[in-house]
Amino acid sequence: MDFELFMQFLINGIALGSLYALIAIGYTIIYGVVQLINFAHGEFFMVAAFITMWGVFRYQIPWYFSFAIAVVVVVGLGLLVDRGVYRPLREQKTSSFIGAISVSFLLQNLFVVLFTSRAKPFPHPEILDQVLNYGTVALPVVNIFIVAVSIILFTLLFILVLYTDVGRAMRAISKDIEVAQLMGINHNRIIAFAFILSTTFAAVGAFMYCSKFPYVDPFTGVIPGLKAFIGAVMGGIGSIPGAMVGGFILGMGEIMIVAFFPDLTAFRDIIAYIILILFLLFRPGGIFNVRMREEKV
Amino acid sequence: MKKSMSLFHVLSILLALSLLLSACAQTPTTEQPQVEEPTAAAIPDVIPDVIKIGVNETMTGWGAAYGDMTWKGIQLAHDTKPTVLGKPVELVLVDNKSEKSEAALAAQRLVEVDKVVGVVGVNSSSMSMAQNEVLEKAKIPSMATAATNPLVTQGKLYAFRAAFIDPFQGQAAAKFAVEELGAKTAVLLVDIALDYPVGLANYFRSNFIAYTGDEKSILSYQSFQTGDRDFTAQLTQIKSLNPDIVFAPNEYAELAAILQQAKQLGITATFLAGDSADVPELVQIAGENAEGFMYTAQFHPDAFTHPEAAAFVEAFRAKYNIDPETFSVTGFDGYMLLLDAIERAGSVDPEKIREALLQTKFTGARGVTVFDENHNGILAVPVIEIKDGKKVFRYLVSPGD
Repeated sequence: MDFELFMQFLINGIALGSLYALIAIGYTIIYGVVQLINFAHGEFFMVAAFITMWGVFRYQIPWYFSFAIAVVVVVGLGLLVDRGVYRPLREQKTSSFIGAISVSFLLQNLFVVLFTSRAKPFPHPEILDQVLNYGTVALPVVNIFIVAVSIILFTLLFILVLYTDVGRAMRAISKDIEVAQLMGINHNRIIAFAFILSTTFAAVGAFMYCSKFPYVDPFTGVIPGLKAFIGAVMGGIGSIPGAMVGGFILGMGEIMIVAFFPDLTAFRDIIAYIILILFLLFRPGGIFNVRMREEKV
Repeated sequence: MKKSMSLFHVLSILLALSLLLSACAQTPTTEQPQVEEPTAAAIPDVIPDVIKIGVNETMTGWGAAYGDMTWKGIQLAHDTKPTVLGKPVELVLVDNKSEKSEAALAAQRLVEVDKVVGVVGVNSSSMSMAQNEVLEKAKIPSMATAATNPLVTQGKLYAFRAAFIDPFQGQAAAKFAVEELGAKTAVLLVDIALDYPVGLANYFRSNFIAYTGDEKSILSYQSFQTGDRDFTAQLTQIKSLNPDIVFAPNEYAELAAILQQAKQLGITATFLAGDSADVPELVQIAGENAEGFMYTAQFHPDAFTHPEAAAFVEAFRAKYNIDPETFSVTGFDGYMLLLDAIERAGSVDPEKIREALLQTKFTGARGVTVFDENHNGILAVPVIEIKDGKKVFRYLVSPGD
């Protein structure tokens, strides 16, 4: 493989890896504070994409305005689902897990009924369709945009978690929820805040994903949600750097398998699931070896 | 405690994954649902007061666009010919949610609850196969619409289809690529999770090799699975091979994403696909990236100019204010072919309808339709090119070419 071809694969891999990392963050934030695998995360992602699309096509409002509405709606939806479904089930791990899956199917089917399942074009600023060419290497502007937004959001998230009161409270809850409550932390408020963060990441991720792959249907969230979840587990679910690294490696790996082993293309999902199972069996804490609080019981 | 927790994690996550995968409508399953032998209620040779025709279509799920267009064609046909044997025809529409197991259940419902005399649909090969397992046992004549995989009718007594089949479609695409476009090399880019793209790509491959006379003219077989949206890795491989043609007979939304990413990567090869591309959303999603894209279809208003075709196009435009395409034309012709057979049979007895279907010589929207020995329509294949965002008729491959 020559250098330019390799660079092309690298550019593709960085974009896909950043997208998975961004979506994986949403799983890990929730898991970190409530030990819940929020399987509805992919559907929050889909709802954000749908509302952005619908605002532009149905009501002719500019895409940024429509996207802002989508963020507000999805954050509200996340808070509603937390308050209405997850909070009442918080003490029962299996029930909240089944609750998450139910919410996921509910939203998918609701959107099929409301909007039909025909794929519709996703509106995005025209600049994102531009491509920069260096020799035979093509660098789509949307890739630069994805990487830049990801870096900005990751930086903001780190600052928030490490240097603010609410971030400290989140970390305290993830270490030991009882002691954190004794120290005067209102855990329900912090968990609600985690849902605000997680759904915002879902909405931004959806906007970038659908700008790059320009259509939306009610099943849009299923595959990226599943892939990002695998990434989060690989990195160590509950850990923010873990989700970033795990998601990134998975996206990059999907591209590089095709690059170096074109005959294995058909097996790439199989390989991803085998890796997931191996991690669960031999290193459940993931790459970052996250230790969850139940373990000390 | 630690060990049991991690085991719990493993089990719960595996459970969740299996639930998610089974629920994901885009993941076809290979299992066939167990279908009980329908109670063989002897159909009396008297004509009922209302003739019920079942329609089993993909009204929701990934195939919703196809199902909607097919249903439009069937409804127009029903408007055109609302009676048979002097009795009104009632259409019974069931939604199979674009899932194979649901298609079989829907067929069973049509047989046992609605007691239909015949079924029109499904537009999808995978779902037609599931449906026809049930209908064959119940001895109910079926008329698949745009389903083009040979296995839909092969070996079945009562299953017919209002479409050409993929061996001929693949041949037509290869003939067009080699003789009209002068192509010497091609790459295949295929969704390996569905029957239709895999089958059609194989027929294209063998015919392309035959037309070029070059064993090595197919440079590569690139694959992906339903639900994938990032094709940049496969397309980068394709770019490095620099073929004349990329044959990618996939679903329309994935095709739109493929065309967009190919344009971004600067691929200059001509993209060619099959009749599953004949959906208006493809151009809406792909925009100007669809310029120069070509595909084989069941129909184009400029490809057939006989009076029946002109009347169909005019009626369709008047009712829906859009042009008919592959799915609506197969829905329209499917209904017409089935009713024509019932009329000639003079009965709703499945044996008599079947015999009448075998003798079919009906002038539909695509000319005189006859069935081959495997109950497949012998029909011409138009090739369509996207030019200035419009579908332009480019080439016609007739049977026997």
